[in-house]
Amino acid sequence: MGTRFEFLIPSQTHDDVCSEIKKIVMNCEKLLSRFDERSEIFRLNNSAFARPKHVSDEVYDLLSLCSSYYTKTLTAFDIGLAAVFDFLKSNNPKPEEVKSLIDKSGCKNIDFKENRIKFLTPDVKIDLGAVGKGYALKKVDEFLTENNIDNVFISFGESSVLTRGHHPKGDHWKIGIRSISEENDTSHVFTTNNHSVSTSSNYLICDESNEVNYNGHIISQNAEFGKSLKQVSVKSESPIEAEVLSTALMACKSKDYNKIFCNFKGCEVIIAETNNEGDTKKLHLN
Amino acid sequence: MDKNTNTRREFLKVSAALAGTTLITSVMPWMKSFAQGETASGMANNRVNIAVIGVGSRGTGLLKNMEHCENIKITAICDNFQPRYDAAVKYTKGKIKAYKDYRKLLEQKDIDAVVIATPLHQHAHIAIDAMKAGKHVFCEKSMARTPEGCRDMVNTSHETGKILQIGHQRMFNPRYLNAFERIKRGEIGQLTQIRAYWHRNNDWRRRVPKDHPEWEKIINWRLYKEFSCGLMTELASHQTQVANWFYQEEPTQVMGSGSINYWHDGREVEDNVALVYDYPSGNKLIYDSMTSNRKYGLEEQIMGNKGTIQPEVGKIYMEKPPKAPGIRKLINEFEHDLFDVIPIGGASWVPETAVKYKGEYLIDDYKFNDTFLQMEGFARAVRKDKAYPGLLKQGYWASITALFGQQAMDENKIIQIPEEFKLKFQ
Repeated sequence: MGTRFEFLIPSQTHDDVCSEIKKIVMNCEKLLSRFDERSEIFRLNNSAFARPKHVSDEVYDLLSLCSSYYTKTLTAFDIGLAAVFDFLKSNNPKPEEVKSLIDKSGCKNIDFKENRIKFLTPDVKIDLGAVGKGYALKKVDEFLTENNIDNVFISFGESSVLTRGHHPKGDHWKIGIRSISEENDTSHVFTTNNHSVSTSSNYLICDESNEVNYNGHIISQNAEFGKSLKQVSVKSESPIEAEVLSTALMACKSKDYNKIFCNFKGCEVIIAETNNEGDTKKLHLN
Repeated sequence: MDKNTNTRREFLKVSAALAGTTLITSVMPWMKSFAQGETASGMANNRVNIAVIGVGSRGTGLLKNMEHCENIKITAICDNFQPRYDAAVKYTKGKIKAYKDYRKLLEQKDIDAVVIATPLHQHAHIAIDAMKAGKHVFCEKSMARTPEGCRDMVNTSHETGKILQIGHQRMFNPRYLNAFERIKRGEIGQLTQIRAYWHRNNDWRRRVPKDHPEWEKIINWRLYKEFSCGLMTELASHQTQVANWFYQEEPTQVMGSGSINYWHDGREVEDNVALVYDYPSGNKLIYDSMTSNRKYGLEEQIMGNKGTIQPEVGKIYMEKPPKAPGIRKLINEFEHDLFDVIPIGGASWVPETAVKYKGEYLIDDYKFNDTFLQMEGFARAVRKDKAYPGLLKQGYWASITALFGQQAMDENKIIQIPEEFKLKFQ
């Protein structure tokens, strides 16, 4: 997943817990990476257009879940756009070419049936980068529950956090979101117990025409994307939902914020946008 | 997948990213054409016939690398030193045409290009003869024993239209390319000084058979000024290339001092050198090399007002170290019985004095073989009959910088780089 995974378990000193957690995370990487030739996703990307491809229950369930999020997020969360990311990175893309590629790829062109996946066009490629960390955190969370390990802080590259229980000196954890516009400010503090927090922000705009807007793993539906700084932070009991919702709200048009948010129960969302004049507008959905 | 396929794939990934950046390709024009990669199977259909002149340790190393290049067929070998000749014939099992006289080799019609890995003093005349005979040339660094030799090689390349590529593999090393990109993006601010060094602790000698003492200068040519400038041409030129490349300018003058103060064994080249180069912008290159202590090893410390890059170890050090990650702050809290906010997200930077700052890695570590990449790239250039733009200038100035450094030490005075050596490149 190309990031740093760190965790802190106050008072817990068992090395075997550390090695088990590491094993879980590495297994997720091996299962979900589109760059690892041993992964099911890699094999899918290379053969699911020719004919339906059988996948394991675990991968099928995750892909089906992602497909349901595609609907819940009004198509803003889409795991089928890897070919578009690659095209944007390795070429000098023309906007019309990108739009054409988007039409030919994405979840709308993936067929799910009885543990079999079929891509309806050769341009569909799956990338689980926007959900992989959440999935790994979910698996680690299950392991911690099974082993009665209650108070834990886990950080995945400081953009995805899982907490369990509470801080040794309090009855909760305090997760502060660093402001994208003011260097030393915290834009919001989430109070958490058994929760996840995921935060996304735009840091790179590659297309000078502003007709294609993406930040490495997010392609925006909003033509204004990149003309201002934007940061979406989500607290949820589900690490997967935190990841999905933060990505979807980064990608969608602002008019869809509430419609999408309504489809995710029990989440808390902060959307901060800073325009060129440095004015910041903050939206709190709870 | 073999390691060379992986090497190619990783490099193409880096070079494709760089080749898409106008800023980078304007100062590294060879990247754009090099990035237009092809698959190994595509290369197999485009093989070029290459001969190796000089099959000592480096020449044999290049030979072994080229054996793995799909687009190269080794067509002939040559060495005028009998033991090397015999060893190369044995290595190639007598299946490759072998010569003792490179002029005879140059008469072989089916050879597209030659690789020159002879002792330094032979580079210039062999390279010039080869280009005049219609062969493209890959020549190991340094270019030549004298500045005049370097200049004549470049002029011959221009006159004949033949490719002349010099073996500076750092320009094909993803770690260096990443460092260069970061510098061009301004990540470490304005460059002001590069401190480069190469320290070893050995006598730098190759064993001479007791019954052949007359082979001393043939085997240990690096130690004699007739054949080499020792530390400057054999080691420093790698690093002068890096300095000129990263500064995007060439030095105007150099002062230096060298001595033999440890290995009093009959050698003529210095075992201890220290030099200062001046660049038009006011930048400095401070260089030293020795063979009596290896604690500090090999490095180029590239310093700007915002940070330092050390490409050999692959690290970047910011003047304002990164904010302690949330997890470190949390550990500090635990240790001091505090309960505060754990910051996540954002991209801000503030000094963190509680944690010893060890820098950040430039890129993920992976094993790659930049010599292999360089040879494969050379063969592609030969097939296209077109040199990578900008590469020869890098090779030329790396050698000129090293050689005038040697002259400064020899004459014990400040040497201005003469105008006649400021060549125009295509």
